[in-house]
Amino acid sequence: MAIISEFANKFKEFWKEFKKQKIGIVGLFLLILFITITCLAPLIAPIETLTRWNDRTYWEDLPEQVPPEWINMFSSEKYATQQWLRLSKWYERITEVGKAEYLYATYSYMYDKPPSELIFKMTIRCYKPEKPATVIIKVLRPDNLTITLVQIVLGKGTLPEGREFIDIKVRITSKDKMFRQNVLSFVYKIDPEGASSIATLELFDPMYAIFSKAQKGMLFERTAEPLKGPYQFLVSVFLSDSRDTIVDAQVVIVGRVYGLLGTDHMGRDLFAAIVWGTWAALAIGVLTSLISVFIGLIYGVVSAYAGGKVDEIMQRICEIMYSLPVLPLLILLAAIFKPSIWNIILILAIFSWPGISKVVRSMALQIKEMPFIEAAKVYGASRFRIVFKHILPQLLPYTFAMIALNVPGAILVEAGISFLGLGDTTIPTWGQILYYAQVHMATIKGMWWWVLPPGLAIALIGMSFAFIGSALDTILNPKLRKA
Amino acid sequence: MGFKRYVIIRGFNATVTLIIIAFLISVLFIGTLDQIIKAQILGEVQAYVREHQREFAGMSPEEREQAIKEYENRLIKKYGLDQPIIIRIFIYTWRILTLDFGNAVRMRTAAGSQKVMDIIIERLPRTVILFTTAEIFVILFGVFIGLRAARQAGSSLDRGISIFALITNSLPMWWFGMLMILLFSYYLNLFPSGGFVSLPPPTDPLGIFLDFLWHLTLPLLTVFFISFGGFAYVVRNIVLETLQEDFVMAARAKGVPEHKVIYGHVLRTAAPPIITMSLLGIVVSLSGAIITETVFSWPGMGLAYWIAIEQGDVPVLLGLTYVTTIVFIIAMVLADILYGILDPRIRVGGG
Repeated sequence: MAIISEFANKFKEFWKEFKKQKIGIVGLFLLILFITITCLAPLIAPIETLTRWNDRTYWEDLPEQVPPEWINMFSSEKYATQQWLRLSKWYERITEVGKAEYLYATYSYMYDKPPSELIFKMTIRCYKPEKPATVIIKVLRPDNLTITLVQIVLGKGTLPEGREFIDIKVRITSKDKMFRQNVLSFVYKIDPEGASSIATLELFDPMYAIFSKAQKGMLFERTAEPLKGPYQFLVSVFLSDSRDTIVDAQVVIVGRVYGLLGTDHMGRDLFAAIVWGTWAALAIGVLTSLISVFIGLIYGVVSAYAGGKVDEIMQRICEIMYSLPVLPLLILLAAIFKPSIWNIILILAIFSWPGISKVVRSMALQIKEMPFIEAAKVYGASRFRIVFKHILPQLLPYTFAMIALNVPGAILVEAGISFLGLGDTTIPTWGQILYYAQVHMATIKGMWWWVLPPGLAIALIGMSFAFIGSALDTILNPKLRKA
Repeated sequence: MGFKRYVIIRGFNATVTLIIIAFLISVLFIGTLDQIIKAQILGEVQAYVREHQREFAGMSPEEREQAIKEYENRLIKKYGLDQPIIIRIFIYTWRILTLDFGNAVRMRTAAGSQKVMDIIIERLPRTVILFTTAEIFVILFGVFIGLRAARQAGSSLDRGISIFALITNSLPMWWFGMLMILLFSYYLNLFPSGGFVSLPPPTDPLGIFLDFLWHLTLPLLTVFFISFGGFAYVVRNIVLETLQEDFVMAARAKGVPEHKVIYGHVLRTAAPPIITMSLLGIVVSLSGAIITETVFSWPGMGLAYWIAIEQGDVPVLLGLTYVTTIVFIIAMVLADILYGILDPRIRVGGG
């Protein structure tokens, strides 16, 4: 108990000192914030962000490279947001060749810029897959004009043995060639001049035509005038068997803006990525720092205590390590070995202990000459005991400062490696987000939401440790406090 | 220990370090190095076949095969690929030490040379010019501000510079570069987003020079902004420590004018570590700024790294890493020696 209360007293004393360091408090606040984000990550953002980071099918419903939703608050023109609408059953009709099912959904369009894509998704439980099914999709606009968007005959499959039915997943998007073709021929009736100026179908964005007033120039972003109001999506499916059903049908209104921080080139939610990236950044920074301070501490103390030839040799090795340019060598290692996050931590730690061991050694040299070490020697304490029981505990307070001060460097180097595309690509990291931003020329295209937040996160997490370390350093090194 | 001996020991240590690194690279990447040589041999064999097409036309297929095989074996012998692994490691170590990195896989110089060393030599000056210029500004402003902060220790300028240093030290320089492009190139359209010449390039000498400066501005500002706070803070600490020494107090007590105390006594004592720090700063910024160059498409060593990584050009990567290491280590030794010249106290003792 005595030990605990002594420790508590010491801690109270220390906390009193620490509280005076404003910068340390800021750092501590930031750190607690980041730790909270890491702990709450599963609640804030789906875990699939981590587990299915590179899985294109997981992200396929999201828009690519769009800004965050809240820009609508600052922009005079409102951008359509992401919505998932259920296609409800209107009625069904049994015919002699099968069954017809009619579905609908209402979308109230109140924006100035249309959605970036429309996706129709449904699962058809099919009892006779060898016979084709037909899907027709129409949209009824607020001005009572109807556009036939899609009429498609679904391919034939075969029933697997022993099964009564199969579930066929259907996914039709406005990027499909037929969809564009249909919308273009609709426009042709209203603005033939504009429609004929479209050179190839690939360059044609059908969304403006669907959501704009039926007049000249409705095709193009600059000239189109938004037609606000309710849009009815009507989906008719002609099934080949009367038992067939549509299990799950929805229309995805893919936004022109998305979420809190927008998306990247694969439609990945950048807010979720940054939340989950906190985990990697903390792990890399703290683990690397812990390992390298541990190695540096042992190495420095042993070198100082051993003295003589051993010290000389250990210092030579340390100097060689110290004179290496860390980043270029790390790049080479990473480029050839394609390491996982754990290997990156290990390699980083191996390169960053020499500086720490130098500081430790010079401190240990001073402690070595103190009277209480002499006393321990006279008592006949073993070398091992002197090093681990008497010298190391004296250094312990400084190690906390060293651990904190070494974290930002580790985070920066890892971010740099990830930025070159050499990090662990299976999980979201902040450096990697910026790598893709660079590859897709986000800066030149003004995609600030892709560039600003990840870098800010790297900077803030680095700062939190730098601030704490600096405060600890000021408390523990009275010489610097004078200033 | 005499100064000469000190220099020799430092130089010897550096040489040993370079040999050890070359050796370690050979051991770690032996598989990759073998592949590079194999690719090179294949290239040379193909060239040989192309050159000797006419002679081969007169031969039977078996004879032709024989001749090609013979030539290939000669090359394998020449490059030591038939030697056991231990010998190969030493061969590769020697090749790295003599800066023979062979040919690049895809990269070329402007003149079309595919030799790795030519590629590096073409790009090295561009990197040096960017980062040395930036570092000169950093040193000038850093010394000026650092000195003022130390003299007014505890003032708002002093505290401001400490916090500024802490913040800029935590910012990734390359990310700050991306922000600069976003702001000054995309939104304000004041500076180019990358490269180092306009297309088409200006023809008159003054135009070329101004165009170069125009392209240099953004990367220069980025390096300056990120590096200068940290440097000023170091200068402040060195000067502050000197200010607390007895001889400064003695000088002040004698009634020496304050500016003479600062520029005569303090700065003279503080100069050696500041100069060493400056030299180290230049080198560290050289290797650390590899990534920043990429952001600005500045066609130096850094961009070469990026291209080599993207294209999987391992020989170029090896060459770049080793040359950077050499530059880094030589500069470290120079900094040490310079420190020794300026501050004779340090020469005694090896550590």
